[in-house]
Amino acid sequence: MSRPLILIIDDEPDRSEFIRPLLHSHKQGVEVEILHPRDVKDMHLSTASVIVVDHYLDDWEERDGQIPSLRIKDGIALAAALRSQVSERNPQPAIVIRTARLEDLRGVLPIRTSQHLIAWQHDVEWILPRANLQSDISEAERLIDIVKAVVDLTTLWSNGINVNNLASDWLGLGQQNWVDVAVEHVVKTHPPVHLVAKRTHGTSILRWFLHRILPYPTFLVDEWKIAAHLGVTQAWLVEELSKNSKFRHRLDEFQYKGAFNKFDGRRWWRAGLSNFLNKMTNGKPFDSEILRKSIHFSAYSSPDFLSNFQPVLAINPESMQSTKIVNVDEAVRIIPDGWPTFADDAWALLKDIEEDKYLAQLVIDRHDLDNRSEDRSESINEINQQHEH
Amino acid sequence: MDEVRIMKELAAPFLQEGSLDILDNLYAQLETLSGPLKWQVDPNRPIITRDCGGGYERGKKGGQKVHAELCLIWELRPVGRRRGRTLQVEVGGKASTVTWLYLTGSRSSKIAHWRMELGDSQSPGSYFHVQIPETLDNSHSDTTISRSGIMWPRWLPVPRIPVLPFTPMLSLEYVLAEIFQDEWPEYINKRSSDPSVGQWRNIQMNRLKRYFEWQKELVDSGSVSPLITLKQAKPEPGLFLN
Repeated sequence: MSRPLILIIDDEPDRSEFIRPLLHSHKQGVEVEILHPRDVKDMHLSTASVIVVDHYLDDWEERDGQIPSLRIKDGIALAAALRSQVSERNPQPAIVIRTARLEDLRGVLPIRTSQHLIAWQHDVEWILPRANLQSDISEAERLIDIVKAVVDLTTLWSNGINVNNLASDWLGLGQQNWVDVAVEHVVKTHPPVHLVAKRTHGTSILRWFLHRILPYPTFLVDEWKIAAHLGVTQAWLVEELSKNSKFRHRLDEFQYKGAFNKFDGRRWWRAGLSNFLNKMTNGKPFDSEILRKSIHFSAYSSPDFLSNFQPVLAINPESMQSTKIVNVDEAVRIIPDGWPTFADDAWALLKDIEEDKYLAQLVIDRHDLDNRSEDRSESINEINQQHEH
Repeated sequence: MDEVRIMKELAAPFLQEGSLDILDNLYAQLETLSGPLKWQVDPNRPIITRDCGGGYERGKKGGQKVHAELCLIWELRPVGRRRGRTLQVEVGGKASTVTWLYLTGSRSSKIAHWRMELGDSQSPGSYFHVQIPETLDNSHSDTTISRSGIMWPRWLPVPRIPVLPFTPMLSLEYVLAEIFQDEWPEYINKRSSDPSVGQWRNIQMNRLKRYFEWQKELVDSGSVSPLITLKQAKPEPGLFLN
C-alpha cells in the first residue's frame, strides 16, 4: 500500500524543507511534496491526503497581469480554488492553511486556540501556525495527526460508516461498561455520518471533530473539567498525571486515545468520568468527603483540594478557553460565538465581565447579570460596613 | 422551566416518542406565561412511559408488563413582572399531578393510580400530600368492604398522606424510579458528570433542603403534637424561592 502524501504549497519552497525529514522520519510513514503553486499538477491533487497551503503567497509572479477572476490573492483563495478541484475526489483530502501571522487571519478573535474558529470561517480543516511556540506539539506532529485521521477515516468510510463504528474505530472507544453512555453522548453532538458525510466523502467528520468537538466540553472533557469534577486544582492534577499512582492509572482507563488524541492536549471520555466518580464514591459521586478520601488514598502526592462548592469553569478572557475554576455564584453563563448548543454551558466571572466589554456582550440573560451584580454589591457593602465597625 | 427542560433530556429514553412533544408544550406554556395559566397535560393525551418490562421489582422480576401515564393541572399565576428568563409564579388554585399504572397492551387495564397535590388555604393538611382516588375493588376479603365494592370512595377526602414537595417533573421522576427500580438509578448514576444531571440534582437538593429545614422548624416549635403541627402547617410564600 502506498504511503499517504502530504502536499505543501509554499511560494518559497526552500523555507519549508526543514519539515521534510521530520515528516519522513515519523513512524506513520508519509510522502512529502513541497511545491511552489506554479508547480502543482493534477496528479498531486488527485493523490494528496493532506494539502497544506501557505497563507501569504507573495512570490508568485505568474499572477501579475491576470484578469481579476484568475487572480489568486493568497493562500486562502488558493485553498478555495483547490477545494473546488478536489471536491469530487473520493476520498477528499484535508486542506490546511499554514501561517506565521495568525493575527492577520483572526480579526478580532483572541490569538490563542482560535484556530478552529478561523478554520471554520475560511472553510478549511485547520489553521497551522508556522511558529507554534505556545504549543508542545510540533508542526510536523500535527500534520501527521491530520494525515493519520484522514487515512483512518478513508478506511472507515469505504467500509460504511455509522455512529457505532465511528465511535469504536475512529474515536477509539473500547468495550468498557460505560460504552453505551459514551455513544449516546456522541450521538447528541450530531456527527455527520449520513448525508453530509456522503457528499464530502467523510471530510465533514474531520471538521465536526476539529471544529465542534475538540475545542469544547462535549463527550470529551479536558483536565480542567476533570479537576472541577474532582474538586482539585488543575495544577495538582497535571502534576499527578505525571506520576505512577493508582489514581493516575484509574484516570488512564478512560483517557481518550482515538483520532487527534494529542492534537490539543489530553482528553477523557465524559462517560468514563461518570463511571470513575461512581466507583470512587461507591455510588455517591457528589459526596465530596468520600471523594476526597478516595483521591487522597490513591494519589501519589497530597491533593490540593478546591474550596469551591459548586465549581464551574469560567472563560479566561485572554484565551477564550475555560481555564478558571470558580464558584457558580461568582459567574454567569455566556454564549461565545460559535459555542455549540450541545456543549456544556460557558461561564464568565462577574469581575471579568465588568472589565471586558466583549465578554459582557456574550451574557445570556442581562437580568441574571443585574441580579448577580446586586448580590455582589450588597456583599461588598456588608463587608465594608463590618470593616467600618 | 429548567425542570421541564432537564427532565425532557433525562427521561427521553424512558418515555414514548409523543411524550417529548408534551414536555415541549409544557415548557412553552411557562415560557409565554404572562397571566393566570392552567398549566396542564390533558388526561386524553398524557405523558406515557415505555413498558418497564417487569422493572417495578428489583432485578426486573416483576412478571407483568406495566407502564405509567401522567397528567397534571396546576393553576398558576405570575407574581410581579418577568425579568429576563426569571418569573416568579404562585399556585392560585388546583395543583394536582395524577399518575396511572397500566398493564401494557391494554389501555383499559388500569391497575393503580394516585394523585399528588398541594392543599389549598382551607385544607386541613397535609399541605403536600398524595391521595388514592376512588377505585372499584372486589378483591378484599373483608365482607363489609366487599359488599360496598368501593375503596377510597369519593366522599372520603382522607387520608391525605404527607409526601415531599412534588412538582410535576419530580412526580415523573418518582414514577420512573418506581417502575424502573434498577434501571432509573443506574441510568442517572452513569451520567453523573453530565451537566443535566448536575442541574437536576441542584434544583431538587435546594428545594428539599428548604423543605426539611422548614419541617425541622415546625418540629422544634414546641407544640403539643409535632405530628399535628406538621400536618396543619402551610409553607410561607417564597419558601422555595431564591
